Amino acid sequence: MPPEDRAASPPSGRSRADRRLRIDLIEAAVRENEAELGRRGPEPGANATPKRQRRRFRPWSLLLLAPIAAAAGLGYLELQRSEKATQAEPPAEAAPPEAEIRFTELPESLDLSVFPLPVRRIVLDPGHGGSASGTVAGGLTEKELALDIAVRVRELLSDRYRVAMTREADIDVELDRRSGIANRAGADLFVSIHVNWLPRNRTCGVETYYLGPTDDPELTALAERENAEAHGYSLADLRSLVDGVYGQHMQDESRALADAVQDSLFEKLRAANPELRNRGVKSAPFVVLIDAEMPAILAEVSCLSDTGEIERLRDDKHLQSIAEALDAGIRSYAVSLLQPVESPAEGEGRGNGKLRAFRGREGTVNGRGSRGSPRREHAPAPQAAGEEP
Amino acid sequence: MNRATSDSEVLKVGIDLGTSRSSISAANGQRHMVQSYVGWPSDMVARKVLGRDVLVGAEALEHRPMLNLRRPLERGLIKEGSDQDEKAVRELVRRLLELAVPAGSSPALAIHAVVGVPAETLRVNRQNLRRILAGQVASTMIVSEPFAVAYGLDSLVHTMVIDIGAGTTDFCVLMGRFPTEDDQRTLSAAGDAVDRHLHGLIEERYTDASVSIHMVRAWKERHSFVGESAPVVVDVPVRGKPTRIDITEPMRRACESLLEPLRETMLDLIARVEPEYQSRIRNNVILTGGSGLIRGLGAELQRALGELGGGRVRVVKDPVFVGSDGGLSLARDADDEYWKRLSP
Repeated sequence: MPPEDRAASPPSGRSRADRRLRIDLIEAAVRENEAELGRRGPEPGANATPKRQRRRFRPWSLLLLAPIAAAAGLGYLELQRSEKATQAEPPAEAAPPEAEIRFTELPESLDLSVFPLPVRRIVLDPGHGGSASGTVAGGLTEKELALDIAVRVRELLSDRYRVAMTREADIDVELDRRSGIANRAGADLFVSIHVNWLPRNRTCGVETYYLGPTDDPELTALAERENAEAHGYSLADLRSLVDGVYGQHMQDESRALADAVQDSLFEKLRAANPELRNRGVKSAPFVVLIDAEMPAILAEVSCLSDTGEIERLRDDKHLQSIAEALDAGIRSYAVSLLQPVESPAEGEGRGNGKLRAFRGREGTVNGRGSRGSPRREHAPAPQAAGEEP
Repeated sequence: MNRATSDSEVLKVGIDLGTSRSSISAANGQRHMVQSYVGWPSDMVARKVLGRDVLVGAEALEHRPMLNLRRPLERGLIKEGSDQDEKAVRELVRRLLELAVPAGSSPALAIHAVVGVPAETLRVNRQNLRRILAGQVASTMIVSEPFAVAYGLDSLVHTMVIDIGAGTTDFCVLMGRFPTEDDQRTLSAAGDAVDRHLHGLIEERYTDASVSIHMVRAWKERHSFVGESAPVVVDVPVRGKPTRIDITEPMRRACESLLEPLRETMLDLIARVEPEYQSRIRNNVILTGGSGLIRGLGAELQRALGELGGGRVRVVKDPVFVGSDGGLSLARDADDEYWKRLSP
């Protein structure tokens, strides 16, 4: 049938099943548009996608999870209540409640009073998850590799730090919620773990990012790929946020963390792959780092565009090596904060005390606000970006 | 589906805003294509010569030396952060609507538009588009371009649509449900990438030749191919003197640069479908979009399906209106209640 005839066909000329299918599809398209308009349509019909069903908010789950949150003493339930109070209705695609985020317990033998650690809580963020697979090659997916590596890093770090993960299973977690989870959990460090795809250069390399602007088209493209799940931000928004919101001091600390992790990744992984390229520490506008109130990095720990690396990634030993490299890098940064500062800085920035502990936006160590405070309290709305010094 | 509002009060249209070409199909039978260029006279003299404040489409391209020329849709999206590009999109939409709406139509005529955009368009871009359209149409529904194509082609079940435009290549697997992110993929490996590649290869090979990207684009549209072809020879000025050059090999290499990403994404998306349906999808791959017409491309992709047990790729021979026709088909099937829900 030529296109002009098709376009003119009334739906009544179709079978009942076909008409039903079309009505369902139109209903779904309209609902998607309504969601963008900030309106909430009627409950989805039979055609609702599995993903939307999976991600639908279930208020009762808060009740089930409240004891866990209470036991963890993290005040998450307060947070959920305060968030619920500010929302007329729960979002249609809510991610799993954050009370599911749990920190590891420290070994009983470890007396924290002996270790004046400026870093105690670390949130690891396995990239992608659920419907967002990330890079896929050779039967491997970035989301699975990131989760596998993150679990190993958690295991390694748990001897001295309390470690939590933004996801512990193959589930969707929106990009802009991930650093929020770390903020509300009072994390001291945020490390997002990813596996790269290098279209132009298939030789594997490792690189580590902190939040900042970039003019490099390749990095812009990478940020675009990694931000693909972030519906609601354009790169222009991100540029504004990066330019206007992100404090120079936190950027310095994130860079220091990125340096430590990158050095460790390259040094340790080069042993297994002498051709490994050190692609360095870079800044780029990643949504997942935007809202972090603590030093935050995104590490591209491997790449699926290299066929040799794909084979190595099938090997548990290699995954463990990557985890160990991340562990060593994070520890190296944490230890660096314990170094005495020769001449204490006067203004905001490096610690005024004897340790090089970083100070955040509010002058409190790590820049944490009170737990349970609304997520956007300290983060200007996108429209205000650029106004804040 | 009732149609309570008569067509004398409402005009339903499908719009395909493309990086290179944009098209409109209207329920009144009008179908028009406009090149996605908008230009403003660069100075008073140019305005005097051209006699207009803004030029759109082929006219703008033709008079480009006198214009501040914009190609406002990059990768099928409004370029970011530029008021001028937003204005250009507004002008482009206005031009499309002028062509589709008969002169002398009632000012009360309400336009209900379905607009196709690349599959993985960010919400912010969709909102920008909605804002731009708000002053010109009564109600807007934005859908992914390959979904609109599939809808128009009546291929909503067990189908893969590969829509290779200028800015993006969109993949969409249709399984009889509204496609989610899992079912769709957008690549930047598309017509413009081929143009840039070809331009670079020609300049590399013929260093003295004066070649513009517009010339390269025109050659590609006439001679593009993958696999084997008769020699491709074109005329270019070399130090001002018209000279014939052979661009067969650059053309092959530039066009074949699309093959690997297309093959990989196609096979990956098929491999993700539940196993019992994979064979049906393999045998129902639809290749559309301007660059889908690259000679031999459909056959190469069909050959690639051999890795998964074989399949069939059908090429849409007249892809110019396939997206806007699909949008119109959706617009007509959506009854008034839906349009009320989508009005600003």
